[in-house]
Amino acid sequence: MSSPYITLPEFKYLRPKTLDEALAILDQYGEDAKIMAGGVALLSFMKERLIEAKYVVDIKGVRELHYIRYSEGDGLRIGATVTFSEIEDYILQRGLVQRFRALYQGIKKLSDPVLRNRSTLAGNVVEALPIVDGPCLLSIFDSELKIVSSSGSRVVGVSEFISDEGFIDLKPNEIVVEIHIKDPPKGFVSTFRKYNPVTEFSMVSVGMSAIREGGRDLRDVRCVLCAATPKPVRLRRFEDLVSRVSDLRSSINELLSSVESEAAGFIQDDPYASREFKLHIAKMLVLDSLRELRSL
Amino acid sequence: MASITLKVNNVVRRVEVEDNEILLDVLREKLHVKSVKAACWRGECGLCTVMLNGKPVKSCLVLAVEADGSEIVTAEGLSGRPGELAPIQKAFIEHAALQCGFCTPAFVVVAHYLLTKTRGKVEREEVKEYLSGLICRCTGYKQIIDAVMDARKHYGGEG
Repeated sequence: MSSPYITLPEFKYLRPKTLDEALAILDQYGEDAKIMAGGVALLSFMKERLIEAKYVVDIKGVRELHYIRYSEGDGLRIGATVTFSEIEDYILQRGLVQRFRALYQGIKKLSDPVLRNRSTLAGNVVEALPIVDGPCLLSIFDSELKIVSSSGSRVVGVSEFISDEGFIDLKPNEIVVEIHIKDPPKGFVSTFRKYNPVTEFSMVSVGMSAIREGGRDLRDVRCVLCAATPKPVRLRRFEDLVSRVSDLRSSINELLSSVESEAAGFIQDDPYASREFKLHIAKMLVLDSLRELRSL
Repeated sequence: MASITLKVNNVVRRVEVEDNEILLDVLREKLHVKSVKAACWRGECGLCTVMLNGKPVKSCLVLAVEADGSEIVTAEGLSGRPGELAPIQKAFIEHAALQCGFCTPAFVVVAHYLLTKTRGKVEREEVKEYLSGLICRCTGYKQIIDAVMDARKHYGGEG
């Protein structure tokens, strides 16, 4: 018996035990098969009839994809089936909150703690909708995805993985098996802010990182605008400008108009908010982030 | 049809399920565990939350087949002893932390997990944050948070 209201369409459930087995299933069934890690997005979209799958391939039984490890110099490596809760706990227990601060902040703001016991970072990145935060959080750091198929493996940067229009670079026979967040350099500080007035989903979000060496001056500032854009976008003119200003207070107007002119090219009106409103929020988030990074 | 085995509130149950059946529906309709509530079926309201292998999850987003071999705990089995209430359930009664009661089973499951995990050492803001995936349309949450804060002392905290 199934729910009277929201049902799942029929499919065959497959639970491979090894990565090779999972890849063989993808080779056999191609686009008819969909990988399920946490299943939060996949099952929701299937209920809404937005994704079709004749075969749901649950990779939670693939032990070799369930790991998270940090090593100095290399950074964080997170397997495809690791949940957000597990990442959150690991970062906290290993004393890595300062090092990966924006990631930690972002996870704490992502959906809710119960859902985070199921949803995975890899699934979030493959979902790649602007409103989910995974791609944004990874873009604040130097992050790469390891993608595997039966014919080999490749490594792709997060910004290359998602096209300017928001499509992902993943073939039907491929699986994202690992997310590698490179170890940030000495003095690295980062922060993530999101504006989500109605739901858990972001309307506008901003990630920022920089190197701080004594004093309050920031260099190598990275500013990523997300959610209101089809994919995470680096505001490079702002980054360049902010690294050159010495007195933030007297340059604030100049900085904010730079954010506005640069972000304007990516932000559109939508049924939830006007372009003007989102640009205003983006400027406020950038300003808050900048203040925070200088005071950390 | 697949035959799966679930350990539900310490009792081993075998049940036949289709691949596309969700755990929520199987628990309610086939195993008659009625404390698990069905409301949104899309992971938003949180009222179908159960403990799956030791962690709270929204059972509307779990396939029944993938739970094969798992241990499930719901409000009925929270204390681990038949006919007894867990401390968080008693606190909900003392604080009148419910009106219609529809959301209560999910709240006590999640609060029990949080208090157990943190050994009762948790602040009000953390409680609010941790319960944020569950929706109550009657109480306004105050009594619920009060009940959880008060129950901390039974889990090793100060209360």
